[in-house]
Amino acid sequence: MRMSAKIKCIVCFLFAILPFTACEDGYDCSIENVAYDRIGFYCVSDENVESKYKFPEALTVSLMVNGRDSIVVNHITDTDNLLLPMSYTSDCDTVVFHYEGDFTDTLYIGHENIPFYISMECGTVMYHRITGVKYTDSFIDSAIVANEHVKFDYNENIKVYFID
Amino acid sequence: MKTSRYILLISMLLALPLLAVAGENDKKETKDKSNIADMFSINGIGVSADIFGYVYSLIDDYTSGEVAVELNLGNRFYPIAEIGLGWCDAIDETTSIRYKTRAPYYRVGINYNFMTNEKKPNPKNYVYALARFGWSSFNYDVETPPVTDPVWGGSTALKLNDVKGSCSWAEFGVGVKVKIAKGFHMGWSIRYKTRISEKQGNNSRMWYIPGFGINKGTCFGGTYNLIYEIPFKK
Repeated sequence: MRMSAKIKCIVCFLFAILPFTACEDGYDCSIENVAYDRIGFYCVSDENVESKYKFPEALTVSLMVNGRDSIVVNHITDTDNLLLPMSYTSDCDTVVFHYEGDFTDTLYIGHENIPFYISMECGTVMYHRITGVKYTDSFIDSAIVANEHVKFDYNENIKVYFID
Repeated sequence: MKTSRYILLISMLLALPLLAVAGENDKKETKDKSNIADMFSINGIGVSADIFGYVYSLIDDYTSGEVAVELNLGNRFYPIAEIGLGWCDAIDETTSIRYKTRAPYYRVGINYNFMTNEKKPNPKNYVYALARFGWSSFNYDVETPPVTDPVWGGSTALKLNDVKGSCSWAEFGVGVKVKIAKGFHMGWSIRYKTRISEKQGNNSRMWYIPGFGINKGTCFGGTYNLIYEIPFKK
């Protein structure tokens, strides 16, 4: 039995590359462990052109879940979006916009909660699927679901159109 | 994307015999048809069992066992079919998550013997390169402790039963077989595995895939085989 130089080279090459071919880890345990609902603010001009809407005055936003009320942002200005944590156990979160002059609007976000098993090492996280939105109309013109899946990404989930 | 992966896999599976044939052509351009017929003549059939998995089950929560049938074509090419059973019942100490599955897996492929000798029908020792295509379709269970809402409190548990998943992968590596008694060989192989496709179950990712191992993009595996060969030529 003899082995040609060519075959010897192949064998040596195979043995040589094996230790350097590191196993790829298919998991990326996210640093974040809360999936946020991203809400964008918009307005529509008379020419029917959609554009981002920045509040000219201070805005306070509170969130009500399971009968508990909590202020999420307090007197912010010049913002055109919000990140809101969603409840793991409730199927409807209530977002209240407090404008200057004691005016308010309420946005009701219906959602399903979806526990997702990632891996033994990374554990389980909670995703959500938005089933619908309802709103009052003091300053809100309309609201739509832009992306129903709330995960660890930067997609906008809800578009709220304000009366300009 | 998947199509290109399959094309790559098939190309690599074909590469070994083509390489060998090309090598032969360089040296033996005048090889006649009878020699080519010898190269692919059926010299024997072998059955083997992987005993590495059973030993590994003593030290870890997941393992597999398999049997294989291979043809000896001219002492050079060994088309092979492998069927195995992979199982896992693991609980992570940190996250307390339990993952459980038990399912068969399948592989087909070829071994290419570098130490071939066409004149001698039953060579004692082999050094070979291998290529495999493997797949498994299986169900798994996941039990997790309650997921706690860090903002609003409250928790929700997750228990998934009989989630369907499937995966296909390719393996490349080298191996050795040594004769230990008449008709019997022992051998080992080291395999580099790369996932080709996977179909995830609902609300979960597969953690262990029978036949592949821990569900990473790539990983290493090994076998330690006991082989019985039935020669067709004396």
